[in-house]
Amino acid sequence: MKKNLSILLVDDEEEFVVTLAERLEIRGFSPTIAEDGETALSIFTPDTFDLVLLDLMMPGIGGLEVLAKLKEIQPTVPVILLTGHGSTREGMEGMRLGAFDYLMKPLNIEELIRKIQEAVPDTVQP
Amino acid sequence: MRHFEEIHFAGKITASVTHELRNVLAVIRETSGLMQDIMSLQDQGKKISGEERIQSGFRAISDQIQRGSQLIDRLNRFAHSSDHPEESIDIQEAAADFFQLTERLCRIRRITLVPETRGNPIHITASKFYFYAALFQALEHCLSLPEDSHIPVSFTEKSEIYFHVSGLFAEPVQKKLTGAFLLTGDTCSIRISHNTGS
Repeated sequence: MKKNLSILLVDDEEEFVVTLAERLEIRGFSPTIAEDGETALSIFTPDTFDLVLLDLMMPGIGGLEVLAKLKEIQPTVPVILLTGHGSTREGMEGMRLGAFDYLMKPLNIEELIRKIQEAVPDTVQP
Repeated sequence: MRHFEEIHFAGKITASVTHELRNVLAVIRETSGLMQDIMSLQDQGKKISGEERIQSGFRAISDQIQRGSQLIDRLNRFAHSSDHPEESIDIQEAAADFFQLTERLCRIRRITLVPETRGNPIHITASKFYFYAALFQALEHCLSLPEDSHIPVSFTEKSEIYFHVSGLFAEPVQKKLTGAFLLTGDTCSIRISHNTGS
């Protein structure tokens, strides 16, 4: 059983990502924020994070490219994509490239927690 | 402009703004959710000093409502640009509206457009929709430039709009765009000026 799951949050919408991190902390997770793909890749090393929550549309390196690079570094890391697109096309494309799943913004925190627990089955929520 | 290009242009603008609106809603949902989380913890008797965070949460929600409202205003003005086949357009004012509307597209590509300070109004009579469409064609070429490009935009009394692109990538862009985009009324030239950056 794993407590304090370490989650890398990658999103350029600062107000969103900071607040989401606070909510995850309240729920016993340990979030780390990266505001773009370059930052995420600079801090991501094998076995540092249990899960990555990754926005698809960001300045600089796009989400799908970041996903591919993360998978090169650690193929087993579960990645949940966040998309602002109304269609499922981008999310499905991400899953084809190895993402665990995708969620649409605005998020439902309970749904997010369920996805995290599915992705990392030995998660214990306090 | 062919019909497909018109649809493509209108679709890109709408998709960009609605994507931004999703971000606005996402911030509001997380912020209000956090406020509920804090109040719920307090109700459970847990010692947590959340008053300051709740207050900043209210401010954040208010800011996001303002941001969303501005986005909707811009999208609405854009939607109304096809109301009239011709109308009087202050090209500096309309370009400023357009740059706000496409701000996110530029941000994603890390391209900054720097319009010169507005001077005396420069009016043309034309279709505002096609005016925006012509600007969009110029913008699409600018978006293909390397990241972190700063592109000054200037206006002349002859109803010309210049995107001043410099560096190695300027020449191919200039070749594609030199020439006027004819609108239904007056002629307004939108050009990429070639500056080798030397």
